[in-house]
Amino acid sequence: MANVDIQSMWERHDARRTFPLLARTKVCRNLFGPVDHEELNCEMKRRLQEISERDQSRWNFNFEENVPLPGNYEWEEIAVSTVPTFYTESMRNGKARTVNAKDAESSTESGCKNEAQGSAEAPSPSTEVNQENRSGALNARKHVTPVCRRRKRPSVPETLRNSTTHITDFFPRRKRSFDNKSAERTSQAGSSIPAEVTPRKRIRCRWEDLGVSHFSDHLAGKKGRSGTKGAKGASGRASAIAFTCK
Amino acid sequence: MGGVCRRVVPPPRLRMTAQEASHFHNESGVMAQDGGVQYEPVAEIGGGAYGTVYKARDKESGKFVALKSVRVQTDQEGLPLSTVREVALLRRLEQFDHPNIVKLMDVCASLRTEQETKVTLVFEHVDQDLKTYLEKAPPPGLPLQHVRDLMRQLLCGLSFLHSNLVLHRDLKPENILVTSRGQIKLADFGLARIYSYTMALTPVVVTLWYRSPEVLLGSSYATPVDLWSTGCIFAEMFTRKPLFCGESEVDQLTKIFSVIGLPGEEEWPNDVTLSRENFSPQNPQPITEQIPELTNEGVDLLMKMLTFNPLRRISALKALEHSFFSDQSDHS
Repeated sequence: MANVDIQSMWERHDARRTFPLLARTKVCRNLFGPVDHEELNCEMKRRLQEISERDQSRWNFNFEENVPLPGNYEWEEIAVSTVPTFYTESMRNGKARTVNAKDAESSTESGCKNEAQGSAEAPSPSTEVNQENRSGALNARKHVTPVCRRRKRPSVPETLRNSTTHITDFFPRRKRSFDNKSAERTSQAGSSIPAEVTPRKRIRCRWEDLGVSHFSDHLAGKKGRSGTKGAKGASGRASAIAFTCK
Repeated sequence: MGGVCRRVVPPPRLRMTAQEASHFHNESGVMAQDGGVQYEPVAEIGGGAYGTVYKARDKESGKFVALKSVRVQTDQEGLPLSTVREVALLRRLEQFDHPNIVKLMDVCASLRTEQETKVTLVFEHVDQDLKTYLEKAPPPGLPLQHVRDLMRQLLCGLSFLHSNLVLHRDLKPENILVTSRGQIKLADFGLARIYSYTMALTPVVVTLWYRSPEVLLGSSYATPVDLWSTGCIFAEMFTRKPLFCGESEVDQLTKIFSVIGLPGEEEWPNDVTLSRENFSPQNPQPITEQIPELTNEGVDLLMKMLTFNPLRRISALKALEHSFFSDQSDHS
């Protein structure tokens, strides 16, 4: 029994995280009925499999096993010493938080400046900043963190905010979450995925979310908080889906 | 690649926690640089053959592609959002088909284990990078006309990245590909680039040589960092050796100040821990002492790139308009 409870708590926790912008409330509202995680999980695996197979046949290369297959591309394995260093395999640790700030830094400079002005009220949870590499943290101070924080707002700043909230703090945020939600719906309707009212499973949300975050953060960062991005957000999403399922 | 050192790593499945990794490859370069640490080729890590790269020829077009695989560690949340976003950004940039940006043909993700996703980037294959290109250049080095051409392309690519709000942040000869027809292609930015900072298994020692003073000082930075690196590379195109070869941040800064002079107190950023007093006062030295073949225009452009204050450093777009590029009087 206890196990089940913990399990479901985790799942709920996970589900909430799929909506980064809604993840802040302690209360988890269940608007669309219970989710069959098992089923969604299977579906995700299946879709991922489909995508992998498409990749594999396009390049006649098994990316999973790292082995070439017969086909249009003539593969050969060559020593790293004979190619530019750039092509050598690399690794990245998966903690989004560690790279988030850099990510934002690298790509949304001018966007960030606007963001910074728009979100000066946001609390600055030092714990988060400390997780960055040194320069990330230092830069965060200037104009970087605002963008990142929006996305990676975990439970830590929650308590902080509770003690320092002003009513105005909520305006931009609520606006954003509304935008996002409406955009999310648009995309669900627009995509070929069968309409399903349960909250999207993690992976799909990710890929879909990608369209919005990509557009709003990287390319049109300026309007991130202006609340006028409805249409463009949706079109960005469409392109993201196209790429996922190409 | 000549001169590329590989760090001795513990055998197989070396997996680091985020903290370890960021510590290990802290951007600040806290980790030991070349001196004192032993490096040797790394044999194999995990399942993939680490010492090899897959390259293929498209039978139809005859064009070559090469795979760069990146292992992304994941937790129960799957692929990090930042990675997904980066993929989107790279693909977005790709749509512009810029001639001076390495072509990204596809991005394929495959689940390896619960904790690791392999993201394979399919890039166009380019035979060599600027490092090799300069090494192979016969003495006395590249003619001015040629440097001018390479620089124009480099700045063109950089200006494109900057106008798309992308910083390269790790521009160096290894990251600049040169095709057999002498075309410059910037690589290793965005998704690929991020790894050069956070990756735990880079075979290449992180170099400080192309880092701007503000990065070395740990101050805030933006697009001007890439112009600093470009300046260093500009100089290297003539001399075929790095302009500032520091072994630590302080050493790197000392070497920089020995050429550009110690900046004034008013120029020193106030958000840094390293104070100006740590460095001995120096006057700027004429850069032509190191690069005698540089024309007046070239000196002017180089010094505008090697400007301490990032706000006063020339931008990629402005650099392209510099008279160095319009000056055609010489044909050395």
